[in-house]
Amino acid sequence: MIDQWSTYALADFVPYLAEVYFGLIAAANQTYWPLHVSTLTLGLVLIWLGCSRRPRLALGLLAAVWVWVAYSFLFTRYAELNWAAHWLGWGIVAQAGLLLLACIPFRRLDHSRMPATWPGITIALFGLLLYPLITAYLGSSWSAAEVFAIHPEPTAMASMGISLLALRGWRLVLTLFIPIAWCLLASLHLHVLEHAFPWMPIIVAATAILATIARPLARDYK
Amino acid sequence: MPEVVPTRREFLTAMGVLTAAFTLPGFSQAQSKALLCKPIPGSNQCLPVIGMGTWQTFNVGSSASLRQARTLVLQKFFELGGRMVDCSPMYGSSADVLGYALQQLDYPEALFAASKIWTSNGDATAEQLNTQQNAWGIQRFDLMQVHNLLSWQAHLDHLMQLKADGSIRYIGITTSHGRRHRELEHIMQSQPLDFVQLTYNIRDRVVEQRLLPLARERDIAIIANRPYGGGGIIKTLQSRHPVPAWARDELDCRTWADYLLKFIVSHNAITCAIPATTQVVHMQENMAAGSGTMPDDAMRQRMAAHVASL
Repeated sequence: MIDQWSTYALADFVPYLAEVYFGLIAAANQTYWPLHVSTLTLGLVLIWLGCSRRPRLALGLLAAVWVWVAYSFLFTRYAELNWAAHWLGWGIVAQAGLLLLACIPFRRLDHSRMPATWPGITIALFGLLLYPLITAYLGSSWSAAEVFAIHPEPTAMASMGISLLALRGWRLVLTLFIPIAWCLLASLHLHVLEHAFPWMPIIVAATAILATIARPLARDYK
Repeated sequence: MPEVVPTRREFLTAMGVLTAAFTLPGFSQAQSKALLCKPIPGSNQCLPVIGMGTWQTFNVGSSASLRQARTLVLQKFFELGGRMVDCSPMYGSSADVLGYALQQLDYPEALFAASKIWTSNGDATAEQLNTQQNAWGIQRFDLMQVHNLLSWQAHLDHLMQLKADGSIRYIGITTSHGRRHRELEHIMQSQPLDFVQLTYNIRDRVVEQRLLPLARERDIAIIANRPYGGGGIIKTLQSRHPVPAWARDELDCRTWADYLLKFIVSHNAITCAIPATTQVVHMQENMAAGSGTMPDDAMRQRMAAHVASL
């Protein structure tokens, strides 16, 4: 089977035209408006919870957001267009599981080290506030805006930021893996769709990786 | 014999029909330039040389406006003499959208329904066939193909049984982008295929060397997919170069669609090409390419050389 899949090109995994995919984005906005106000508020609350050292509540709510995005976007809308949607949806549900796993108190979560506050806040706010504005601008319409807890890309970005605020060590890596993979897939997907700026998700993911790596280095130099 | 005098109503109806015959675009085109048909080897059926693909173009999900737009494209296809429509389970909602469009058009009799089996589960051939039939809303496919050689041994065995019991009329296998040609050649040599679908266009001609001659030798019909290279070939040519005057004068090539499709369907091994489109005007251009003067071998070489030089 692997040698079969190796004969496929990237474009073979995108069986629809760009206008149809971005129409899906707009349709989700139309269906769920004015839920956007609540999701923005929730995102800001999650950032605050991460900063105020209440990680379990932040991660639990974030897990619920991921499950909602899997259901409302991937399993329902996107599944009409792509045979791979269910696998992607279950990947997102797995992310929710990993976030809950990261909450398990094997021992008290250690916040003795300086948290990666500013990288986490920056990445989370990018997903929450800037990415919707940029996508609306590139799509020439508010209906083109991609929004936290409604569309997967900004959810992945904000999720990485909140993880950076709330977690350390293996728990952090555990909860970054799927959002980083999602951002990589998203950039490849946008590239196939000939999007004007397809590399935004992967740049945000790279920033999260650098923030994770840089933290132990910063401690060594203290 | 008593003289038959038409009533006023019969006379007016006849005038209406004649008026439609000379004014409706599809009708006039059919009258003036019939779509070239090629025989399906080993059968007494022939197929128009321009069919319709649905990769990406018909995958529009549940959008009512886009479904209606695709219905208009399909309507134009049938109006202009088209028959073969090709789809696959890999194409998202394309089968469902096709089924919607066919229902809107009351299932044209001309339809030559072609789809594919695309599952690694070699025992799921009949199940996927049934799923596709339900999506299209039809009783029987004319052609069922193994998509991209996936689990071809098991699926071809099942398809041969389904053909033998009359559930399908023809069986075939597909590939694209030049993939797995060596394996495809082996299958063409060893299996009783009716159709093979592969990529053939003015920039991708590798199949001319072995697979097309083999198809002629084995009486296998060839469907050419990606006639425009996924759209890249025609977009580049349209944006940068006019159709050469000699092609306009000698081959009735008014558009690059004419040029690119005539090149493909004039090959003696090609039965039909299946361009895909979302627009009625492009469907008209595609179908127009299936009529009028067709290039001979020398002209085909000139056409290929010209595009290669651009």
